[in-house]
Amino acid sequence: MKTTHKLRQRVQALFGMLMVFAVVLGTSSDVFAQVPPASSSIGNQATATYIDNGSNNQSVTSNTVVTTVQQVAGVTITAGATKQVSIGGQVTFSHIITNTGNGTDQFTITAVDANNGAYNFNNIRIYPDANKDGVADNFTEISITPNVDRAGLANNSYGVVIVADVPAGAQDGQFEDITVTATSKFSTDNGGNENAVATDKAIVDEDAVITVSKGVSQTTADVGNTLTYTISYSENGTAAANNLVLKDPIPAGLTYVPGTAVWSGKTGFLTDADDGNESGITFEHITGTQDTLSAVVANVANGSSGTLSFQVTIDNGQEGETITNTVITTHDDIVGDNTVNGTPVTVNENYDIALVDAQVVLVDSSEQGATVNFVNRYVNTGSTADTYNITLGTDNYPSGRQFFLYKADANNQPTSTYQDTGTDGIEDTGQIQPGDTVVVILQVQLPSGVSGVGPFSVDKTLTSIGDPNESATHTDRLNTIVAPTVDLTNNVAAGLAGALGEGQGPETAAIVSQTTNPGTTVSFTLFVKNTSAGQDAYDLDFAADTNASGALLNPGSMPTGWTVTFRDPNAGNSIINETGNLAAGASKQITAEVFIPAGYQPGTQAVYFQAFSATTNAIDIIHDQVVVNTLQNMQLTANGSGQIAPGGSRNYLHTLTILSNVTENDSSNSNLEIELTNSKPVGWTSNVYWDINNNGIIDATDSLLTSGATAGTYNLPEEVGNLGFNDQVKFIVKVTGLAGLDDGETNTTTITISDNLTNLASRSNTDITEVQAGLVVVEKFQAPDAGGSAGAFTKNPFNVLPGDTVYYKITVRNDGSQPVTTISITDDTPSFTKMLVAAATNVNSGTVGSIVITSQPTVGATGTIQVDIDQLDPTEEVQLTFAVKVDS
Amino acid sequence: MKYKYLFLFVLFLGLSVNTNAQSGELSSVLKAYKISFGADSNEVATEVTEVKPGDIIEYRLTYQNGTGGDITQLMPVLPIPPEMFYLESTASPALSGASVSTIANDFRQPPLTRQVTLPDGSQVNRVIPAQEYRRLQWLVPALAAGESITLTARVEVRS
Repeated sequence: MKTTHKLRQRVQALFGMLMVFAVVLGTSSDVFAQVPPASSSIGNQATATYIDNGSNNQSVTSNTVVTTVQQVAGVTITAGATKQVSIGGQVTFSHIITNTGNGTDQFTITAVDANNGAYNFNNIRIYPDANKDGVADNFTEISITPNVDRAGLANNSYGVVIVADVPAGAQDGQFEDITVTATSKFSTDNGGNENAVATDKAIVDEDAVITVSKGVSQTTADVGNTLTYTISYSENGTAAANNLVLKDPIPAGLTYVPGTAVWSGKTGFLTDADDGNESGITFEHITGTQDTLSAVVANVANGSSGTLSFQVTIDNGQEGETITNTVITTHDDIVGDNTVNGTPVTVNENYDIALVDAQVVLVDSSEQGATVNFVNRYVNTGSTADTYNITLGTDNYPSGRQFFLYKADANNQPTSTYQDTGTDGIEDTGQIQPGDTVVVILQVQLPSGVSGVGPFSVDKTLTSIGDPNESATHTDRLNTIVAPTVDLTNNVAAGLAGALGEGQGPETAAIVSQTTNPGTTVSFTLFVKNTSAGQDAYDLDFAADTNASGALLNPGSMPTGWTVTFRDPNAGNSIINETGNLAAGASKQITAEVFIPAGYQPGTQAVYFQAFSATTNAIDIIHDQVVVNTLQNMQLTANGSGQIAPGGSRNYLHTLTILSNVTENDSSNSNLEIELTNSKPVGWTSNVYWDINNNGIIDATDSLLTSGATAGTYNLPEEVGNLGFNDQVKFIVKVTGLAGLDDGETNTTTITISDNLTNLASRSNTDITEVQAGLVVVEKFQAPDAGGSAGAFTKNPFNVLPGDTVYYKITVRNDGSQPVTTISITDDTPSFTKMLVAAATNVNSGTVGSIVITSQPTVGATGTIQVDIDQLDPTEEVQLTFAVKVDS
Repeated sequence: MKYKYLFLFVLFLGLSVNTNAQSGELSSVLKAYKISFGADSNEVATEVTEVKPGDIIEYRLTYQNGTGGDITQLMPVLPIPPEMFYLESTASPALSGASVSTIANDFRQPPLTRQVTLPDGSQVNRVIPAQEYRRLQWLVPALAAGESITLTARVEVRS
């Protein structure tokens, strides 16, 4: 602790010089930095910036390494004094013990006869002087001080008074010393011996013995306070004292208040000039390098006493200092001077704090959900290191906001949050050196979904822990919280050349219009751009219209049969219904596929697309449209072929299906006609009937339209009427061959449906009929699955679902009059099916010689099934069965 | 933030944390060593959590490049706590910069100087004592993937 002592001495000795240099050099906080208190923690944390291999600027923060300061002892004691004492009298010395260690400590005190002189003190006692006024507080002897605060705190010293009795046998002029030792208890408890020593001297004087003490009006004071020092003197010897000199050099840090000196021997103030006007005292205020008050009292009567008092003020810059004002005395009966210390005065530290910038820190606007940093700078304008509690006042920010108090880096960017370095549970700045600036960033996390016009304000106050009356307050104000936005555009992202539909929708007119036929799909290229300051995600939606307030009307619905599908072209065209997270300023491309059902009426259909954030309520709608063409088309199925025995007949069913999206056969869009022709006009007759009841059979009620023998076209019956999309009309063509026709002769019958307004393309089917003596009739049936086996076989259609099983049965029968040889039957697995049950044959009638399944796909595959029969006699029938499974 | 508290908590317990194992990061570990002299007058460095006024402490700052790629322009900054002062020329490797401010971005290569106005009004440049440095800065031009570097500097606890 000797270094501490030296440092303090050096600081005090050089103080005046430093005062000059401080102005020039600027205050160096190092000079005033104090020894860290015992048990305090020293934390340190390194930061670093670097550039990674992607050329990105990065930063990294180390762990905080914490070291705890241990206690060290240190002690000083004020120097001893020399006093005159009468024979058999009592002498009193006062000392102040100062704890220069960094922890609370006690000090054992000894005062022993030094045996340096000619007599021995009868008794040496030590009394407490807690208020350090040089007068014992009581007369209970002590050998150890109570706890004394560490260096750097106000109460880091303790006074003692040493009282010793001079024996009656002592002689004039003899002296003896007292050695006063103060020893740190912490030191001795830990094996050390940290101590400080002072030596007092008592000289026996048979003449006048003047005892001088010096008190002060207050022992702690602030800079600028006025102190009154009172020098008390008394004659305790055997004779009057002449020419008592009281010389008071005013120490650095104090300034004498002119005209305030008062002597007990005179009414009123003494004059500062040495004008010889006072009787009994000569007083002068001597100015120079060091101001000095000089008084000479002409005579102090035996046993009498008196006082001299004056006032001083405490100079600026003395915060934290302890000032001792001494008085130097002598009189005619002694040789040399005695120096008597006045009661020390401790100048209170000045705790203060000020704002660096304007009181109101204003941010004009920010987006809802955003993070706003208010950088508040404060400076320690006090005289000593101080810690400041950080508190926030009531605020009117929207409910749900969060406040964080952050430290700042060199660029005033937030680093880590402030914590409570003490024990009061309030975040604080940690220790700030005088003159240093501390930056406190209030980070406001605005709630998402709330916007509006403020101003929104909160007061942030830093309060000195050293003096809770000292504080400084910034107001952190945000004028406006704006709602986040999103921009939904066509073709390219908002802000780029070619973007359509920028800004808030829905637009009055369609931005992009696509023209197409019914039964097709059109694609709109959309871009969703996050035009907010923070990350956001958007749900995608659509509608056919908007309501009066511009919102989607019946979101997710379009006219019957229409579908809208959003796809991500950058993710394999996968179906999406939201954008996922988009960083501020980022955009995402979306493909909106709009399917228009076949047969949908021609015209214009609006399509509104919407991007909406449920988190922030950011929304945009874009207005596009689809123009549906007029499409006129029809279909006639199917071509037929068959055999007849000579003289026999055969019916062929034909179905007309309207595929237009307008009404046909209404005499306006179209007027349908029918024509029937035969390729062989001789030996063949053909007729076409309108299958009124749609049963596929010519009934008595079915209407005969025309015959292949009659040239020309004929209007369809009036009862057919208007035909809409998917409407069907069935016709049955009956072809008859005369009995005399040759085996193998064929006739082609052509049925043609045409529009005499020529808006619809004509459609024809042909039915090829062959005369065969041996007539093989092939019929194909299908049956749904019924518990793992075939249900009822039928020629009628039925519905299946993916994964269902369909059973097929094909019968081959010779309806002719002659045997038929070398019959080969082929069939394919239908599209979208796979073979499930392998082909099997059965002879239903007769005795067939050879039936061979020559090929078929394996189960689970597709392909052709072929069955060869060597001969089929009249009336014999063979059956082929297999089953398929519809793809799922 | 929770992770940070946890980390500090573990640190106070004195448990070791193998930050090198955290792949994908540039790890930064700071330790404090007390410098003393053994009976043979040789210097001894002991990792400490307790110090006394007057003690010489060496801060050792280790960076381990676990990012998987090379990094460049690594610029570590070590603050000097107010309870301590820097001992001149003890930094290893040599400092690229130092600052007498705790916050300002005003690093300059030591020795730092400042302009002083003398009583006669003339102005001269004076060297600022290293004890007044409040922050130290190094420049590591490059640190290849997997490499590590340790930077040291000594301070004295104020007494």
